Amino acid sequence: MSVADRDRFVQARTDRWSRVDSLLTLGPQGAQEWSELAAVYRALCADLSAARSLDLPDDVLRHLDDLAGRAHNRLYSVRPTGIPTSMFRDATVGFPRELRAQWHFFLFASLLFYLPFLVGMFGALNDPTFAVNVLPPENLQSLEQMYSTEDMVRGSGEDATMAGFYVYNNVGIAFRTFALGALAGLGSVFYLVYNGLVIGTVAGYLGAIGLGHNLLEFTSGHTAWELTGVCVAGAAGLRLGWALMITDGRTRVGSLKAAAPSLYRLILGTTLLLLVAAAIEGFWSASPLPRTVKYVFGALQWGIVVAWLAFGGRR
Amino acid sequence: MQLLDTTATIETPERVRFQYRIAGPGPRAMAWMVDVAVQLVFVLALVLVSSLVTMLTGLQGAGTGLVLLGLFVLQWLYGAILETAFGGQTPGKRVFNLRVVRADGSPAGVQNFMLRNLLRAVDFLPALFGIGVLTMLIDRRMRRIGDLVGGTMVVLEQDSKMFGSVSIEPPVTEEERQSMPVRVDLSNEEVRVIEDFLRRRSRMSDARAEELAHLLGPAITERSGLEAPTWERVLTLAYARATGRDREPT
Repeated sequence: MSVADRDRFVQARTDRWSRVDSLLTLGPQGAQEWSELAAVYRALCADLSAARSLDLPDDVLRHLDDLAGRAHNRLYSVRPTGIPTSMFRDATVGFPRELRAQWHFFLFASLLFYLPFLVGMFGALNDPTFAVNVLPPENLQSLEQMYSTEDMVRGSGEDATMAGFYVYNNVGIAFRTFALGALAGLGSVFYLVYNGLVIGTVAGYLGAIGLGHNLLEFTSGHTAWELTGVCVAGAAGLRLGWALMITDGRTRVGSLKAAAPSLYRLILGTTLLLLVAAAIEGFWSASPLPRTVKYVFGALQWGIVVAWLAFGGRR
Repeated sequence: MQLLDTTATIETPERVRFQYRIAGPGPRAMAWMVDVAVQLVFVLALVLVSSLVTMLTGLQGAGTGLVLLGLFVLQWLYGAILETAFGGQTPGKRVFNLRVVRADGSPAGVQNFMLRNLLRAVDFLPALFGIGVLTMLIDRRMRRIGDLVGGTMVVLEQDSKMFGSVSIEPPVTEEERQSMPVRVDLSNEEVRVIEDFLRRRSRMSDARAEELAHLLGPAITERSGLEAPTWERVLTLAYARATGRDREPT
C-alpha cells in the first residue's frame, strides 16, 4: 500500500475517530448517544484491525488502541445492580456451603488456633510464671482490673464505642490473618497460633487468680461468633497460601483465579461472623443481666453458629 | 520494534482485539497518594460528624464508636467500595486515568475489588508497598499480589494524539528538482522511518532533527549522490523523490 493510500485511509476516518473521542470525553448523553457510541466503537474496531493489517504507523495504531480501550471500558462497565443483595446471599448461604467444601482448611485453622489456646490456658492455670512469659505484666494487670468487678456496666454511649472498637480491631485482625496467607500461608499460621496462645493464656491467668467466672460471663455471648470468625479467616488465608504454592497442574495465576470465588465467600463469612460478634460484645456482653441468662444465651449462640455452618445453604 | 512491552492485548467477546497500556508503579503510587489525601479528608469529616452526634445525642462515646467504625471502613473497604461504585476507579485513579479491569480486559466486579483491596495488607509489607512493587516488577502485566488474587490489572486510559500526515516543508523547489539524481532508491523500511521522522518533525528542535537525520542521511548521500545543505533536507528530498511527492502541487 502506497504512502498516499495510507494517508487517504487515515483521512477518510479521522472524523469518525474524533467523534469517538468527543463522545468519550464529554460522556454520552441519553440513549441516542449511547447507541451512537456503540456503533462508532464497532466501526473503530474494524478500522483498527484494518489499520493493523495495512501496517499503519505506530502512533496511529496506538491512538486507535487507546480509543478502543476507553470506549470498551465505557460501554461495558455499566454498574451491575443488586450488589448488597448478592453479597448478603453469598455471606449467609454461599459461605456455609463453601466452608463445608473447604472443611480441611477450616479444621486445620481451628487446630492451629485451639491447640495453642489450650496450651496457654493450662499453662497459665498450672504455672504462675507462664502468663508473665507470654504477656507483658502491664497487660496482665489491666486485665485483672477489668475483670475484677462483678458488674461491668457501661453507659450505652460506651457500648457504642466498644462495638466500634471491636469492628475496627477484630475484623482488622481477621482481614490481616487472611491477607498474610499470601506469604505461603505462614502469616495466617502465625496469627492463628499467636492469638490462640494469647487468648488462652489470658483465660488461664484470670482463672488461676479466681476471676474465671467474670471472664466467662462477659465473653460467653460472643465467643461463638468471634472465635469461629478468626478460624474462618485463618482457613481463608491457608486456602490462599495453598492455591499459591500447590497449583495442581495450573499456572500459579490460574490457580489463584480458581480459588478466588472460594476466598471471597469465606471472607464475606468472616466479616459477617465478626460483625455479629462485635454487636453482641458491644451491646450485650457487659449488660448487668444474671449470669445464668448470659450462659444460656451463649450456649444458644454456639447452637446457632454450628447449625448455620452445618446446614446453611443445603438443598 | 518494541523494546519494553507494557501493553496487554485483549480480545473482546466480539473477537475484537486491542491493546491496553498497563499502569506501572509510578502512576499507581501517585494515585495512591491522592487517595490517601482523600481518606484524610474523610477522617476529618468523620471526626466532625461524630462530635456533632455526641453533642446532639448527649451520649459520650457514641461518636467515638462511629469514628472507629469509619476508620475501619476507610482502612479496609475504601478501595473496594469506590471501585465498585465507579467502575474500577478510586478518586486517585480517576485523576491519573487509571482503571482496574479484569486480567482478560472485561469489567471487574465486587469480588475482584474486594480481594484486591484486602490483599493490600500483604502488598504493603514490609513498608510502602515493598512486596507489591517487587511483584509488579516481576509480573508482565505489572500486577501486585492483590491483583493476582483478585484477577485484575490496572490499565492506563490515555488518549495519545496522532501525528499529522507528512508535509514536505518547504516544498521542493525547481532548482532542487533539477539537481537531484533521477532515481533515489529507498527500501520500504527507510521510507517508513523517514515518514515517521517527518510526521514528528514539528515537535522537535532543529538541532535534534539534524541529529536524528544524521543517522540515515550520509548513507543515502553515499548511495545515491543526493546532496543538500542539511541532512534533514537530504531525507526530505530522498523521500519526496522516492514516493513521487516532489511533483505534487503544493
